[in-house]
Amino acid sequence: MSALDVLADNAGAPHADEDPRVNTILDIVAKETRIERANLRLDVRTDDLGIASLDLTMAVFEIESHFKIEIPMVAGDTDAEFVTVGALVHHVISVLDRGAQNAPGAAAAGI
Amino acid sequence: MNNVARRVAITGLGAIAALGHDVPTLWRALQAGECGIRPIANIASARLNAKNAAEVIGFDASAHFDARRLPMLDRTSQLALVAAREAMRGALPNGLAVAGYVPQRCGAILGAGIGIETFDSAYQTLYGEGSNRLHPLTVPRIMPNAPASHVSIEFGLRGPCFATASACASSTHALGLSFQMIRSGMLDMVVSGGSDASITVGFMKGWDALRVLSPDACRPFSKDRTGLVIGEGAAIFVLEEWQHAIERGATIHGEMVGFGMSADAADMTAPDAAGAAQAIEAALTDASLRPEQVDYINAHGTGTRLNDRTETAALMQVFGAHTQRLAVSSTKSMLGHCLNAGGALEALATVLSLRDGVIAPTIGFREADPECAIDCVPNQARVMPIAAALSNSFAFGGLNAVLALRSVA
Repeated sequence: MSALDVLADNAGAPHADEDPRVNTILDIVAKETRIERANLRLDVRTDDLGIASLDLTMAVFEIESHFKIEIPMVAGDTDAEFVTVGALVHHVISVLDRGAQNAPGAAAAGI
Repeated sequence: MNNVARRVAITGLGAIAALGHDVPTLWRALQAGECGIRPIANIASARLNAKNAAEVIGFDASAHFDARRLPMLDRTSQLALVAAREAMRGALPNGLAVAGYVPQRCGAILGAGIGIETFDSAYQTLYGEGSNRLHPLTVPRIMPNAPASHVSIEFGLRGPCFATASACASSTHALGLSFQMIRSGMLDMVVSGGSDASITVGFMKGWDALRVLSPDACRPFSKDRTGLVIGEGAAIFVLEEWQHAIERGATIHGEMVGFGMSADAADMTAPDAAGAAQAIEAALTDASLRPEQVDYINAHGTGTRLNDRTETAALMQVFGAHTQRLAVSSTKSMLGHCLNAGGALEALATVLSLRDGVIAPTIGFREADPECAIDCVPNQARVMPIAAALSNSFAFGGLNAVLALRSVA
């Protein structure tokens, strides 16, 4: 079972046990947004947590720096980007997994 | 209210530059004729032809701003805020409301403060290191209105807030417009001035290429002058409507009485005596001052061959025989050319001269130049009472701005 499947199955709770990357991502989000780590449940809307869009952007930047990846915009609908904490985590994990599959090409892509 | 009678008081002063991180330190050093121009220390100077600058040394941003706010602040905004805090502490230590001000009638108008350091390091990351990723706050750090916006946010000033762009006259234009807005009745209080922190390898190479930088010192009006030296810093004024300042018992450092501006409409870099003279005359007329009433002029005085002789010619044109009785000093000899902050720092030195009856000298002066036949207060400060003074800024692009100031009689 992949990390993404776990997230899809249990959208309500963090899954540090299954995938340590989730914990790392949420730690960074907590630090950048100054939201209590315990409140960062995957199903919570970022709006409801009062996370300013700039703080979320800073969090994405720090996640990129930490994992040495580039997180593309979610195509099509920027307003809907990272509506929930889970959507952000999901997106990051999928980028990381894609990077792992294409590891030999990652360096060439300048990531 | 009769707006024609409205006067403008200078009630707050703040500054940070090569000679000090606050006004008292800076003013002591200026009076002592100390030189803030030194070998460049904050950046690698190996690739620069001119290796001296008037840098702010020992500035620890983290001592002034918390870790959350710092990523939003280019050095230009940091310096502006440090100076603005000093000015506001002096003028309105208990805030707007206690002083009887409505936020909507208070402005923040600063000279354009481009985040050059952010620009330079972003391009280094992008082109030098080949990274494809810049910091998310790159744009809000670079934008020239950032210092003005930060000042507005920090002090809750909700009236007009913008940045003026006229190269080395930017902060003079900012102060002049602020003065006009208070005098006209549009505003009651404005935080105004300018900041500059452009000493980066990229920007200094640009100045190198222009061939106007002195290899060592800035010697305005001296026959052996060799060009200008870049400096950095900030100076911020709190300007208030006079009557209200009096009624609330504010300390008044001086009065802003006139503002003149002009364009040479001739050349992008070469100065023009007629354009400069026009701005000086406009400031005098605006202030209802006769030329003979002026005691002191803080010159633009860059230390380039062309500026100093053109500025002298402009003074001769306006002041005639009185030119010989004027004290004319260039504090750029000590603070360097602080570009967008230059006009505000020099207006600050002018106000302090009026307040304390001491003129800061032109240092580095070695030899009289027949083309600069003025009393440039060489090398030693002068104690003399001053009733009225001008602060000149003549910028690239042929943009001239002159402030007229009076002592509090």
